[in-house]
Amino acid sequence: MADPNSVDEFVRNFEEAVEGVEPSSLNPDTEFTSLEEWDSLAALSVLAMVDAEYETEISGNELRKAKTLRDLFSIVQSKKAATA
Amino acid sequence: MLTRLTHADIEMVRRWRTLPEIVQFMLYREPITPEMQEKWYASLDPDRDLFFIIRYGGVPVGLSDMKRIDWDARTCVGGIFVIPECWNSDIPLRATFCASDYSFFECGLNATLSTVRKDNHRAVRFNLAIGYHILNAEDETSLTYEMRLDKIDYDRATKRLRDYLSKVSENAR
Repeated sequence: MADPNSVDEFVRNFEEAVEGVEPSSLNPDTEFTSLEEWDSLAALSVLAMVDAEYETEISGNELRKAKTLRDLFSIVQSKKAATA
Repeated sequence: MLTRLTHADIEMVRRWRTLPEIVQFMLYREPITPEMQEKWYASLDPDRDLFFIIRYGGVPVGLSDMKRIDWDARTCVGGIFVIPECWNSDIPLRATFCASDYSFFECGLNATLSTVRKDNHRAVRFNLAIGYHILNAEDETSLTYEMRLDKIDYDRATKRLRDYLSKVSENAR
Protein backbone atom coordinates (compact mmCIF):
# COMPACT_ATOMS: atom_id res chain seq x y z
CA MET A 1 0.00 0.00 0.00
CA ALA A 2 1.20 3.50 -0.80
CA ASP A 3 2.02 6.23 1.72
CA PRO A 4 -1.16 8.34 1.96
CA ASN A 5 0.85 11.39 3.00
CA SER A 6 3.35 11.48 0.16
CA VAL A 7 2.31 13.49 -2.86
CA ASP A 8 5.57 12.58 -4.57
CA GLU A 9 4.80 8.88 -4.28
CA PHE A 10 1.33 9.60 -5.63
CA VAL A 11 2.89 11.28 -8.66
CA ARG A 12 5.11 8.23 -9.25
CA ASN A 13 2.09 5.93 -8.95
CA PHE A 14 0.21 8.11 -11.43
CA GLU A 15 3.12 7.91 -13.88
CA GLU A 16 3.10 4.13 -13.63
CA ALA A 17 -0.66 3.90 -14.10
CA VAL A 18 -0.85 6.01 -17.25
CA GLU A 19 0.58 4.28 -20.28
CA GLY A 20 3.10 6.33 -22.22
CA VAL A 21 4.08 8.71 -19.41
CA GLU A 22 7.82 8.78 -18.79
CA PRO A 23 9.01 8.08 -15.24
CA SER A 24 9.89 11.24 -13.27
CA SER A 25 8.38 13.48 -15.95
CA LEU A 26 5.53 14.86 -13.82
CA ASN A 27 5.26 16.85 -10.59
CA PRO A 28 2.43 17.67 -8.18
CA ASP A 29 1.50 20.80 -10.12
CA THR A 30 1.16 19.01 -13.45
CA GLU A 31 -2.26 19.60 -15.00
CA PHE A 32 -2.79 15.98 -15.85
CA THR A 33 -5.84 16.44 -18.09
CA SER A 34 -3.61 18.40 -20.48
CA LEU A 35 -1.23 15.50 -20.97
CA GLU A 36 -1.23 13.99 -24.44
CA GLU A 37 -1.48 10.57 -22.83
CA TRP A 38 -4.63 11.55 -20.87
CA ASP A 39 -7.65 9.73 -22.23
CA SER A 40 -10.48 7.50 -21.12
CA LEU A 41 -8.16 4.56 -20.59
CA ALA A 42 -5.82 6.67 -18.47
CA ALA A 43 -8.73 7.96 -16.39
CA LEU A 44 -9.98 4.50 -15.53
CA SER A 45 -6.44 3.24 -14.92
CA VAL A 46 -5.90 6.03 -12.37
CA LEU A 47 -9.17 5.18 -10.60
CA ALA A 48 -8.02 1.56 -10.42
CA MET A 49 -4.58 2.62 -9.15
CA VAL A 50 -6.15 4.68 -6.35
CA ASP A 51 -8.29 1.72 -5.38
CA ALA A 52 -5.34 -0.70 -5.35
CA GLU A 53 -2.65 1.51 -3.82
CA TYR A 54 -4.67 3.73 -1.47
CA GLU A 55 -7.52 1.33 -0.72
CA THR A 56 -10.12 3.98 -1.35
CA GLU A 57 -12.52 4.64 -4.20
CA ILE A 58 -12.87 7.90 -6.04
CA SER A 59 -15.50 8.39 -8.71
CA GLY A 60 -15.18 9.62 -12.24
CA ASN A 61 -16.96 12.82 -11.18
CA GLU A 62 -14.41 13.41 -8.43
CA LEU A 63 -11.61 12.77 -10.88
CA ARG A 64 -13.05 15.35 -13.25
CA LYS A 65 -13.01 17.99 -10.50
CA ALA A 66 -9.22 17.80 -10.16
CA LYS A 67 -6.94 19.93 -12.29
CA THR A 68 -3.49 19.12 -10.97
CA LEU A 69 -2.04 15.96 -9.47
CA ARG A 70 -1.94 17.76 -6.13
CA ASP A 71 -5.70 18.40 -6.40
CA LEU A 72 -6.25 14.74 -7.15
CA PHE A 73 -4.07 13.65 -4.27
CA SER A 74 -6.06 15.92 -1.93
CA ILE A 75 -9.27 14.23 -3.05
CA VAL A 76 -7.72 10.82 -2.37
CA GLN A 77 -6.58 11.95 1.08
CA SER A 78 -10.03 13.35 1.95
CA LYS A 79 -11.76 10.17 0.83
CA LYS A 80 -9.26 8.08 2.74
CA ALA A 81 -9.79 10.18 5.89
CA ALA A 82 -13.56 9.98 5.54
CA THR A 83 -13.50 6.20 5.40
CA ALA A 84 -10.85 5.70 8.11
CA MET B 1 -25.84 2.32 -19.21
CA LEU B 2 -26.77 1.56 -22.80
CA THR B 3 -30.35 1.85 -24.05
CA ARG B 4 -31.50 0.85 -27.50
CA LEU B 5 -31.73 3.76 -29.96
CA THR B 6 -35.30 4.83 -30.67
CA HIS B 7 -36.76 7.17 -33.26
CA ALA B 8 -37.11 9.83 -30.57
CA ASP B 9 -33.31 9.90 -30.20
CA ILE B 10 -32.28 10.39 -33.80
CA GLU B 11 -32.39 14.19 -33.97
CA MET B 12 -30.26 14.39 -30.82
CA VAL B 13 -27.81 11.94 -32.40
CA ARG B 14 -27.76 13.96 -35.63
CA ARG B 15 -26.89 17.13 -33.69
CA TRP B 16 -24.02 15.32 -31.92
CA ARG B 17 -22.88 13.69 -35.14
CA THR B 18 -22.65 17.02 -36.96
CA LEU B 19 -20.58 18.79 -34.28
CA PRO B 20 -17.24 19.82 -35.81
CA GLU B 21 -15.37 18.10 -32.97
CA ILE B 22 -17.08 14.81 -33.86
CA VAL B 23 -17.11 15.19 -37.64
CA GLN B 24 -13.33 15.56 -37.83
CA PHE B 25 -12.90 11.92 -36.81
CA MET B 26 -15.63 10.44 -38.98
CA LEU B 27 -15.17 8.70 -42.30
CA TYR B 28 -18.29 10.43 -43.67
CA ARG B 29 -17.88 14.17 -43.17
CA GLU B 30 -20.63 15.71 -45.30
CA PRO B 31 -23.54 17.55 -43.65
CA ILE B 32 -26.35 15.31 -42.43
CA THR B 33 -29.87 16.73 -42.75
CA PRO B 34 -32.86 15.61 -40.67
CA GLU B 35 -34.22 13.93 -43.81
CA MET B 36 -30.99 11.97 -44.30
CA GLN B 37 -31.12 10.95 -40.66
CA GLU B 38 -34.69 9.67 -41.09
CA LYS B 39 -33.62 7.61 -44.10
CA TRP B 40 -30.66 6.21 -42.22
CA TYR B 41 -32.86 5.18 -39.29
CA ALA B 42 -35.39 3.55 -41.62
CA SER B 43 -32.57 1.60 -43.28
CA LEU B 44 -31.45 -0.10 -40.06
CA ASP B 45 -32.03 -3.83 -39.81
CA PRO B 46 -33.22 -4.48 -36.25
CA ASP B 47 -31.64 -7.94 -36.26
CA ARG B 48 -28.25 -6.89 -37.59
CA ASP B 49 -27.82 -3.21 -36.67
CA LEU B 50 -27.94 -2.54 -32.94
CA PHE B 51 -27.47 1.10 -31.93
CA PHE B 52 -27.42 2.22 -28.31
CA ILE B 53 -27.58 5.57 -26.56
CA ILE B 54 -24.87 5.83 -23.91
CA ARG B 55 -26.28 7.28 -20.70
CA TYR B 56 -24.19 8.38 -17.76
CA GLY B 57 -26.09 9.27 -14.61
CA GLY B 58 -29.20 9.07 -16.76
CA VAL B 59 -27.96 11.75 -19.16
CA PRO B 60 -27.47 10.80 -22.84
CA VAL B 61 -23.83 11.40 -23.78
CA GLY B 62 -23.10 9.34 -26.88
CA LEU B 63 -23.82 6.54 -29.29
CA SER B 64 -22.44 3.01 -29.44
CA ASP B 65 -23.16 0.58 -32.21
CA MET B 66 -22.87 -3.04 -33.27
CA LYS B 67 -23.80 -3.01 -36.91
CA ARG B 68 -23.78 -5.41 -39.85
CA ILE B 69 -23.83 -8.33 -37.42
CA ASP B 70 -22.96 -11.57 -39.18
CA TRP B 71 -24.60 -14.18 -36.99
CA ASP B 72 -22.91 -17.01 -38.92
CA ALA B 73 -19.37 -15.62 -38.75
CA ARG B 74 -20.16 -14.16 -35.31
CA THR B 75 -18.72 -10.76 -36.12
CA CYS B 76 -19.99 -7.21 -36.18
CA VAL B 77 -18.74 -3.75 -37.04
CA GLY B 78 -18.36 -1.68 -33.88
CA GLY B 79 -18.35 2.04 -33.31
CA ILE B 80 -18.69 4.64 -30.60
CA PHE B 81 -18.68 8.36 -30.09
CA VAL B 82 -19.35 10.50 -27.05
CA ILE B 83 -20.00 14.22 -26.80
CA PRO B 84 -16.85 16.34 -26.42
CA GLU B 85 -17.67 17.24 -22.80
CA CYS B 86 -17.08 13.60 -21.88
CA TRP B 87 -13.86 13.05 -23.78
CA ASN B 88 -10.88 12.07 -21.66
CA SER B 89 -13.11 10.94 -18.83
CA ASP B 90 -13.73 7.36 -17.77
CA ILE B 91 -17.06 7.40 -19.66
CA PRO B 92 -15.94 6.26 -23.15
CA LEU B 93 -14.10 3.28 -21.71
CA ARG B 94 -17.00 2.31 -19.46
CA ALA B 95 -19.33 2.48 -22.47
CA THR B 96 -16.91 0.46 -24.57
CA PHE B 97 -16.77 -2.23 -21.89
CA CYS B 98 -20.60 -2.32 -21.70
CA ALA B 99 -20.93 -2.70 -25.46
CA SER B 100 -18.08 -5.20 -25.84
CA ASP B 101 -19.20 -7.33 -22.90
CA TYR B 102 -22.68 -7.39 -24.43
CA SER B 103 -21.47 -8.38 -27.88
CA PHE B 104 -18.97 -11.02 -26.72
CA PHE B 105 -20.52 -12.45 -23.59
CA GLU B 106 -24.27 -11.92 -24.14
CA CYS B 107 -24.63 -12.13 -27.93
CA GLY B 108 -21.86 -14.69 -28.34
CA LEU B 109 -19.95 -12.83 -31.05
CA ASN B 110 -16.27 -13.66 -31.53
CA ALA B 111 -14.90 -10.49 -33.10
CA THR B 112 -15.60 -6.82 -33.70
CA LEU B 113 -14.30 -5.00 -36.76
CA SER B 114 -13.64 -1.30 -36.91
CA THR B 115 -12.38 1.24 -39.43
CA VAL B 116 -10.47 4.16 -37.90
CA ARG B 117 -8.88 7.15 -39.58
CA LYS B 118 -5.11 6.97 -39.26
CA ASP B 119 -5.01 10.60 -38.12
CA ASN B 120 -7.33 9.78 -35.20
CA HIS B 121 -4.33 8.87 -33.07
CA ARG B 122 -6.26 8.70 -29.82
CA ALA B 123 -8.81 6.25 -31.20
CA VAL B 124 -6.07 4.07 -32.68
CA ARG B 125 -4.18 4.06 -29.36
CA PHE B 126 -7.41 3.39 -27.45
CA ASN B 127 -8.35 0.47 -29.70
CA LEU B 128 -4.88 -1.09 -29.47
CA ALA B 129 -4.98 -0.79 -25.67
CA ILE B 130 -8.24 -2.74 -25.42
CA GLY B 131 -6.92 -5.55 -27.63
CA TYR B 132 -7.60 -4.58 -31.26
CA HIS B 133 -4.99 -5.38 -33.87
CA ILE B 134 -4.45 -3.70 -37.22
CA LEU B 135 -5.25 -5.76 -40.31
CA ASN B 136 -3.77 -3.45 -42.94
CA ALA B 137 -0.66 -2.09 -41.22
CA GLU B 138 1.39 -2.49 -44.41
CA ASP B 139 -1.01 -0.50 -46.59
CA GLU B 140 0.53 2.98 -46.67
CA THR B 141 -1.90 4.30 -49.27
CA SER B 142 -4.99 3.88 -47.10
CA LEU B 143 -6.20 6.77 -44.95
CA THR B 144 -7.74 4.31 -42.52
CA TYR B 145 -6.78 1.34 -40.40
CA GLU B 146 -8.92 -1.75 -40.59
CA MET B 147 -8.90 -3.11 -37.05
CA ARG B 148 -10.17 -6.32 -35.49
CA LEU B 149 -10.89 -7.13 -31.85
CA ASP B 150 -11.11 -10.80 -30.99
CA LYS B 151 -12.96 -11.84 -27.87
CA ILE B 152 -9.92 -13.54 -26.33
CA ASP B 153 -7.71 -10.48 -26.87
CA TYR B 154 -10.35 -8.15 -25.44
CA ASP B 155 -10.76 -10.36 -22.39
CA ARG B 156 -7.02 -10.47 -21.76
CA ALA B 157 -6.28 -6.79 -22.43
CA THR B 158 -9.10 -5.37 -20.32
CA LYS B 159 -9.57 -7.91 -17.53
CA ARG B 160 -7.83 -5.86 -14.82
CA LEU B 161 -9.94 -2.75 -15.46
CA ARG B 162 -13.19 -4.67 -15.97
CA ASP B 163 -12.56 -6.49 -12.68
CA TYR B 164 -12.03 -3.12 -11.02
CA LEU B 165 -15.34 -1.82 -12.41
CA SER B 166 -17.14 -4.97 -11.29
CA LYS B 167 -15.77 -4.48 -7.81
CA VAL B 168 -16.80 -0.84 -7.50
CA SER B 169 -20.22 -1.65 -8.94
CA GLU B 170 -20.68 -4.34 -6.31
CA ASN B 171 -19.61 -1.92 -3.57
CA ALA B 172 -22.12 0.66 -4.81
CA ARG B 173 -25.04 -1.78 -4.42
